[in-house]
Amino acid sequence: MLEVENLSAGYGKGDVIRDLTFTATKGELYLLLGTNGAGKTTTFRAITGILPPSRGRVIVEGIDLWRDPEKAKVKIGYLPEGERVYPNLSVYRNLLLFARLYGVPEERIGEVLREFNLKEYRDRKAGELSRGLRKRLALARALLHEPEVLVLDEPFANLDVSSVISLRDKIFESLKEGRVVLFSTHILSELQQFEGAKCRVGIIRDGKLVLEERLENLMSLLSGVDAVLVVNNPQLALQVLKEKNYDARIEGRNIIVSISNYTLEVPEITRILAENGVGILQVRPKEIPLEKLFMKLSKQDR
Amino acid sequence: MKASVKVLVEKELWTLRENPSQMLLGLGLILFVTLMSSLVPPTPQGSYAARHQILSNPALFGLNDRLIHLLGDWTVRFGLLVAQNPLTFGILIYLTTYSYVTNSFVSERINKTMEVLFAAPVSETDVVASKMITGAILGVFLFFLSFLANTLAIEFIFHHCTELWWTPTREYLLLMAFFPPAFLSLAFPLALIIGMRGSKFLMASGTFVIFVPIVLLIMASQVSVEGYFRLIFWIAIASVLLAVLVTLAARKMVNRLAFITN
Repeated sequence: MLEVENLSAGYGKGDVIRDLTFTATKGELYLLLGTNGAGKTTTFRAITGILPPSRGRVIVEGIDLWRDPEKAKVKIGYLPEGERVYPNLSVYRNLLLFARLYGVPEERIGEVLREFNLKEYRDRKAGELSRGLRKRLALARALLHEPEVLVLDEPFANLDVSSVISLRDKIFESLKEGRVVLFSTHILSELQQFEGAKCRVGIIRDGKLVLEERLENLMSLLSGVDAVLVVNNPQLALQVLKEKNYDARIEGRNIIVSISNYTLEVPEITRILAENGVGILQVRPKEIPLEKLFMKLSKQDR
Repeated sequence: MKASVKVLVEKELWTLRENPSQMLLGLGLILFVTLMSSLVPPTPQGSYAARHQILSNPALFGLNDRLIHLLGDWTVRFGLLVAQNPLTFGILIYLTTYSYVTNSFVSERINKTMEVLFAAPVSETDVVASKMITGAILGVFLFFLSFLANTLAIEFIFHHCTELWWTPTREYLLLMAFFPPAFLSLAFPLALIIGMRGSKFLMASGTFVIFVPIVLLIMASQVSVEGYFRLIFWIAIASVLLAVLVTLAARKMVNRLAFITN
């Protein structure tokens, strides 16, 4: 369990985050959503023991992070934005360094290499790997010591589709294993990846937590939003959807479908397309800017 | 040594092994300087000045008239190995160590790996200590290598000309055993301050010591040989004192924010 109480922190010239309070329990995914510069990374730095808070407390599994950092930190795994691996060291040594720092036996590295499909890259320098592989290595490093709390700062940024899917699967696996997972993003459509998980969303704005909502409630706000479908045959998909009286059009290589209830209609559309032999590569809501969501939310509050 | 520091030192040594250019450059330069000063005759002006210095007080070089006669043309090269190389080595060891430690901090800043380290059960003191210890290992290794190479070169020339073994003088031992470590001590706090700030201008400014031998060579032609040895000795003392002062200043400057903010 992770408890954040009245947390304020900054970089010496005033606080970047102010009075953040939230709790995440075992097996729960806590999504921190906010625009660039809202304070997501600063929050995670204060939660992982990198940045000392000016006020407040972080309690990890009952241990005060800033009172007993060594004990608390072994319970946290951190994947920072970007990969932050040692480019001149091999994959194995990148893991060995942290295995030794966390007091993990060396045999665990072999397990992690297998688990993350990194075995064949064991002796390759981390700097020579693709971005997706480096991210995989960084996630392997974060999970090496089997932490109770996993903190992921914008993990999907700059990843290709297959890396996103494999990372998402790892996150679901972590949740099943009872971990608390904290995840930050500024891309609204990424939330959709976690439908079905025990998930709460905290919206951060100017360093303050302005709203906390269950994911399913937030997703209902997305109703009335167009769906974007990435398919293998856009012409066929368009024809099928038109036959079923959907308001669909082609934009670039994507199909845009106007729908009134995203959560209800998307499964039906994907079923129809699949039955007609259209391969679906991705489905996501047409991006609405976070600012619009904030406006929507504030209207709802009134 | 604290377990986490030991692990971090090991990591520094891996990095040094993966990217040995700085160490090899320092090592190569030491051997090059030793070979050049042993084999290449100095310029007529340099030769005249050095011969004048040696003849004014041969005892400081462990020589007398008979040995100078036996050394003949090698006298000047012998004098350079005894009096000038310790100074050059001090500067080379300083530059290699300074550049290694600074680069180590700067590359962690560039790759932003310091952030991941601080998320692990590691303190900023552990990180700083590990880099300093690795720098010290490198510096001490180069120091012993230079001591060995230079003394062997001196013995080789002396034995070749006189068929005797040279007994190192107090001045040589003081110069060789004190000047390079004294300069080395200055490299650590300067590299720490500059590495934390990470600016290229500051990095370059730390190499100001390159001017020390030039200034000393100019001064050496103006002062007696006793004065020259004394001058180098006082420069070494000043380096140690400066190192202590900079260390005290650096201790106040070391904080987590300096490592993770750009």
